[in-house]
Amino acid sequence: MQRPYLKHLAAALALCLPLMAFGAERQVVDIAVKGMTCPLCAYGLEKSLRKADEVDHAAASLKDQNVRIELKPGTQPDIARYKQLIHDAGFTPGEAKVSREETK
Amino acid sequence: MKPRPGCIATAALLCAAAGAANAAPLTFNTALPISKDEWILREQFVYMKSTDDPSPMNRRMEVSGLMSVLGYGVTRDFAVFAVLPYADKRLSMNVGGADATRSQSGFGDAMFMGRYTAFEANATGHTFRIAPFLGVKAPTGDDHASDRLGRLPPMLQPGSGSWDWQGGAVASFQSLDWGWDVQLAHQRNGEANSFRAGAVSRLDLSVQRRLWPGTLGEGVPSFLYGGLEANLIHVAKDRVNGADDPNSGGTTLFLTPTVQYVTRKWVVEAGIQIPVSQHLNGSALRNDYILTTGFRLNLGIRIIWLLYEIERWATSKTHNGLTG
Repeated sequence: MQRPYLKHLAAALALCLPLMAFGAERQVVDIAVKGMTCPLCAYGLEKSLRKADEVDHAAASLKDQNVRIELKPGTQPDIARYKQLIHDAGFTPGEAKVSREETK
Repeated sequence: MKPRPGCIATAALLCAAAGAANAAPLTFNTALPISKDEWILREQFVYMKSTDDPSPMNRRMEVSGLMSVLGYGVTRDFAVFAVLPYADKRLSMNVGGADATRSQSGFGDAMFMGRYTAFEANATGHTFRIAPFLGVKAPTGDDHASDRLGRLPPMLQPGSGSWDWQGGAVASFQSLDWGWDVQLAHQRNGEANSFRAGAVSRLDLSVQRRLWPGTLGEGVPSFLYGGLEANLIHVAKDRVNGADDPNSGGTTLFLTPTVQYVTRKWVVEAGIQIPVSQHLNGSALRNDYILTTGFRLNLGIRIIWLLYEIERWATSKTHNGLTG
């Protein structure tokens, strides 16, 4: 009598997993970048920022002269590390802004 | 002693020697930064033709070369580069009323260079840098190649047999719309086989302008640059058995229109160096033009190894040639 009950519970949990992921919150860091002037440089910067384990995605903007760093859900930003990685990539980091957004 | 039109070509080839990260100059690119831990590969196909011979021998020199440049960012400010040229050299001339051609192909001398960014000023949308560099050319190429007429002259040898040193400094300004680079470089050559190639001094200037897109969009769009470069190159006379060769060396000014397409991961580029002024000594062979085209990649080490294997396989199928 107990076995069918556990089976139904496991199936329900499995079905709910995608719903649990939907709506999870993650942190996003926008950092101003000085000295970024071409597409290849921007790609080098994005690659450099992905060295941080908690970084899910990094996208530079030449027009806005900044980089947007999206963190994995449940992780905390390490602003000092990101600024060091920007510096290592050959640029000068500026002001950083942290915000939260829902993952889709 | 024969004049050495190869001097200018060698200088042009060797100065295609450094990093790649931007709308860098085509004819010299010791200019731009490589990020820390970043690998960059540049391949350039160079074709040089010299047919303006003031002597009655009607000499024609053609050089086709493939320059492989690998750069690595050791630290934020210090980058190292290795350059390995592969060239096919062909000299035709009129001897006793008949045409004769001597040719040779093979890997040339490898060059290793370090560059340190000593000054940097970054601001929103532009950057300015000054970097001294120092390089050494090792005698890795064959300098004893011969054909059925005997040992080939130095201008046709793949390698020089000597240790050569190059130093200089480069300053670069780059904004989102345009950029310029200026380089001052000097190469001092060692002696081998009783021959010392003339020292090369050069002043290079490059200006690049973004042609497309006219207005920047979101993210990281690809750029099309148009550019103009000027190379003022002075080559001292060669020394043969301790004496100056009067038919070698001189001063040349090249102008080079360029076009470059720069994306996030790769660059394709082309340009043609046109000698607008040539003051060469004696009967030194005058240059017609140097055509340069190639690509640059921002790579991982596995891809670099794969490309090395492909190049090694391709060059193993080449052979030395002599036609009369």
